[in-house]
Amino acid sequence: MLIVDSLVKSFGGLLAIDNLSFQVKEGIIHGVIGPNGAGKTTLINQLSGEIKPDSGTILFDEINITCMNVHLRSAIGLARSFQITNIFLDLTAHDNVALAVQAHAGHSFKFWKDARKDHKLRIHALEYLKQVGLEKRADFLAGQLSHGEHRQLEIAMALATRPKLLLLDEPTAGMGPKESSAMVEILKKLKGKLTILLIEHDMDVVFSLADKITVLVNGRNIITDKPEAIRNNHEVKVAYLGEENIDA
Amino acid sequence: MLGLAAVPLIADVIDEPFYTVMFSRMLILSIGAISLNLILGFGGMVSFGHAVYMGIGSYVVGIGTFHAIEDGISWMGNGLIHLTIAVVFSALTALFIGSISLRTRGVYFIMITLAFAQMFYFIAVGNDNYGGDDGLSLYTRSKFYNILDLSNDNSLYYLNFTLLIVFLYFSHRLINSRFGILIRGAKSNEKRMENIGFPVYRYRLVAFVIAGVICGIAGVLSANQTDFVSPAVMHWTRSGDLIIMVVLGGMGTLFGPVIGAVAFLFLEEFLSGITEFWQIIFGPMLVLIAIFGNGGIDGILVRLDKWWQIKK
Amino acid sequence: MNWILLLEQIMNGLQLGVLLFLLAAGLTLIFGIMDLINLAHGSLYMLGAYLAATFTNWTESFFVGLLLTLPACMVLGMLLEIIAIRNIYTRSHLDQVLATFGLILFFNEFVRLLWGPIGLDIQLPEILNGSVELIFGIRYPAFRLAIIAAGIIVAILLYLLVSHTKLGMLIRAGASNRQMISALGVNINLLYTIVFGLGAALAGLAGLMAAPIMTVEIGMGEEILILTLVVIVIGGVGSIRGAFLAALLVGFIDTVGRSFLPDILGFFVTNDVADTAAPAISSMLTYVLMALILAIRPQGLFPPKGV
Repeated sequence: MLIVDSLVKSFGGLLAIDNLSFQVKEGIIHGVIGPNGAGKTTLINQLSGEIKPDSGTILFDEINITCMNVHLRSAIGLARSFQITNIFLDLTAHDNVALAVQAHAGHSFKFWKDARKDHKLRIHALEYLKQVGLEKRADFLAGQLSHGEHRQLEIAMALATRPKLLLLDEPTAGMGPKESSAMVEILKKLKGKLTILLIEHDMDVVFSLADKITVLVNGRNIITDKPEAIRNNHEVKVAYLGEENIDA
Repeated sequence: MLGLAAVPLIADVIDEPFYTVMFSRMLILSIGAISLNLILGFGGMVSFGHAVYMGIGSYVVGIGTFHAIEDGISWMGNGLIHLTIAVVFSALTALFIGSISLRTRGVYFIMITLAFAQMFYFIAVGNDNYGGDDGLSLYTRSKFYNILDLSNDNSLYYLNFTLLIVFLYFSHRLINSRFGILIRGAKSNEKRMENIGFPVYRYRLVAFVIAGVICGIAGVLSANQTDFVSPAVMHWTRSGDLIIMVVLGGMGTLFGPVIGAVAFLFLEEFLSGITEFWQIIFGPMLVLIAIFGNGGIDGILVRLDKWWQIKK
Repeated sequence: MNWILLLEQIMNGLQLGVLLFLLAAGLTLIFGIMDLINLAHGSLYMLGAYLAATFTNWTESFFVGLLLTLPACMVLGMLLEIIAIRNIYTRSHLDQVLATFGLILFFNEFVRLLWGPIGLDIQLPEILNGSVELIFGIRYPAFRLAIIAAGIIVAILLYLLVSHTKLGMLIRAGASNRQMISALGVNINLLYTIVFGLGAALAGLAGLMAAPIMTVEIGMGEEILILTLVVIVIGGVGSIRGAFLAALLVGFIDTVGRSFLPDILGFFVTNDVADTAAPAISSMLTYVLMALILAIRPQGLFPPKGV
C-alpha cells in the first residue's frame, strides 16, 4: 500500500532521513518508533507532503506521490493528524469535522446555501464525531475543548476525509494515562477498517496497537518486524530502549 | 438602514441636495468596502490595489459616454452595457492580478497588489486619447432606456441604495456558504485546509475575482456620481482609503465596511471643518487605531456592550 | 541607433538605480530585521529633499547642507521609531500598513504646513553644475555623475558595514534568524532604533541627491516608494545584495525603456501608434518585469536564507 524507497532529506548539513526504505501493508497498524531526533516527524511531513524529500520515492497505492501537492494526496486517500493540535479553534467541533467532510464532497463553488444547514455535511460529520466519542461535545467551540478532546477531534477530521491510509503523528502526546487509554480504544476500533501509520513515542501505546513496527534511528530503518521480535531484538534494546531506560 | 433610505426625501425637504450627493458617495464607497472586506476581512488577503477595479468601472462609463456623445454611438451610452463590460473587465483584471499575486504570501502579497495597481494607474495616465493625467468629464450619465434616469441625483441614490442592499445580502449568503466557510478557514489556517484536501489557491482566486467584480460595479456608480473620471480614482492612496474603511468599520463583519465608509467620510467632513490641514490629525489617528484599535468601530461597540452588561 | 544617447541613457539608468538602491537598502533591512513593512519610507526621502533644500538655502552651501541633512534625517528616523514605529513591530502586516499609511498622510500635510504647497528649488555649487567629458567627447552632467559615485561609495560602505563590523554581524543575524539576536543578549530596542535611523539616513541621502534633478514637492516620496517596493520584491525581501541588483535592473529598464521604446515599437507598428502607446507601455515595463519574475520565482531573485 505504501512503499518508501531510499528516501533522503537533509536540513543544511544535518541528515534527518538517511536512505530510508520500508513498506506498509494494507489493513494493518504499522508503528514507527525511535528516539528523539530520529527523524519521525520529518518522515511524516514528507509522507503528507509538507516538505519535499531530497531524493528517493514514495509510492502510495502504486501512485508516485513523492512530489504531489498536499491537497491531491488528500484526494487520493491520504490523511494525517498533527502532533501540535491543528484545528479551527473558533469553530465548533461539529463545524470542524463538517469542513473536512466538505473537502471531499464535490467542489466548493457553492455560493448561496448556508453550509451550516447543509444536512449532507452535518449528518456525516456527526458520524465521525461519534466514532471518536465526541458527539456530546459537537456544539462546543473547539477552543473550549480539552487537550485530549482536541486530539480526538483531529482524528475525526482526518477520518472525515475518508482516507485509505491514516498517518498519526504521536496521537497521545501530552496526554494523561486516562486520556491516553481512551485514544488507544478509539484506534483499536479503527483497526481493520483502514491502514494506519502510527508514529509514537509511548512504547505501551505502540506495542498494544501495532501489527508491525519499524525502528528509526538517525533517519535509518534499523529493523522492521512484528512487535514480539522488536521487543527481543538486541540492537533495538541498545539503540533505543537502552537510551529510553536511561532517560526514564 | 431605513434612515439611509429616507436621505433624499429629507434633503429635498430641507432643500440641501448636497446631503443626497454626500450620502450617495457613502453608499458607493460602502459597496467598494464590502467587496474588499470579502477578501481582506473574511479571506485574510491584504490587497493593496483594490481601487483598480473602481477605476476600471469608472473608465468603462467615461469612455462609453465619451464615444456616445462624440461619435453618436448610442449603444455606448447604455448603462446595462456599461455594467456588463465593467464586470467582464474587472473579472479579467482580477484574474490576472490574482493569479500571480496569490502565489505569494504576507508582505509580498501586499506589495505586489500595490505594484500592479500602480501599473494600471500608469496605463490610465498614459492614455492620452481619454484625457491622460487630466481625466475625462462625463457630459451624460449611463442610460437605462427610459426606465431609470440617472441624471436625477435621487434616482442615482436609490440605485446605489438598492445595489448596496443586494451586495450586503449577497455577502451574507456568501460568507456562510460552503465557499465562504472555505475562504474563512483558509484565513485562519491555510495549511490545514490543504491538508484536509482543499485546493485553496483556486478558491482564493475566485474570491479575489468576485471582490474585483463588485468593486468594478461600484466604479460604474462612482463615475455617474462624480461626472468625472481620472487616474486619481485608482491611485494607490484610494486603495489605502478602502483598507482604512474596512479596518475602521471592523474586519470580517457584515456591516463593518458600511460603518467604516460612513465613519471615514464623516471624519473627513468633520476634520476638514476644523482645519484645512485635516490629514495632520487623521494620519496620527490611523497610527493610534493600528496600535490600540482591535476590531474597528464594530469591535469597540461590542466591547462597550460587554462592559455595559458586566456593569449591570 | 544613436550611441551617444544610448550611453547617456545607460548612465541615467545607473543613476536611477543607485537612488533606488539607497531607498531599497534601508527598507529591505527594516523589513528583514524588524519584520516591518514601512510605507513611510518615502516620506523620509521627501523630508531629506526638503531639509537639504532648506539647509542649502540657509547656509548657501550645498555641502554644508549635505552635512546637516544626513544627521537630521537619522535623528528624525530614530525619533519616529521611538515614538510610533516601535509599537507596531509585533502587529499584523495590515496594522503596519495602516499605521505607516497614516504617517504618510501626516508627513505630507506637515510639509505642506511648513513649506507651503509649492515645490522648492535647490542651488547646486559651481563644481557640480557643469558637465564632464566621459569618453570620445561625450559629455555628462557632473552632478549626475556625482550621484552615481556617491551611490556606489555608499553601497561599498554598506557592504563593509554589514560584512565586517559587529553591528553588521547583528544585522545579518537578525535578517536570517530573528530569535537568534535576542538569544545573544543584545539590546534589541537599541539595535532596532539604530537600524531604523540608518535606513532613514539612507532615504534622506537619496532625497537630497534627487532634489536638484527632480522637483522637490509633496508626494515625491510616494511614486519612488512604489518603485522601491518593486525593487525589494524582485530582489527578495530582506536581501541587500538582491536589492542592489534589482535596483540597477529596474533603473535600467525604466530609463532605457522610456527613451528607446518608441523607436523599438516603431519597427513593428506605425510611428503614430508607437508614439501614443510607448509612454504607457514603458511605464508598465517595470511592473511587467516584476510580474514575470514573480510568476517564476514567488520569493524574488535572491531571498535571504532562513527567512
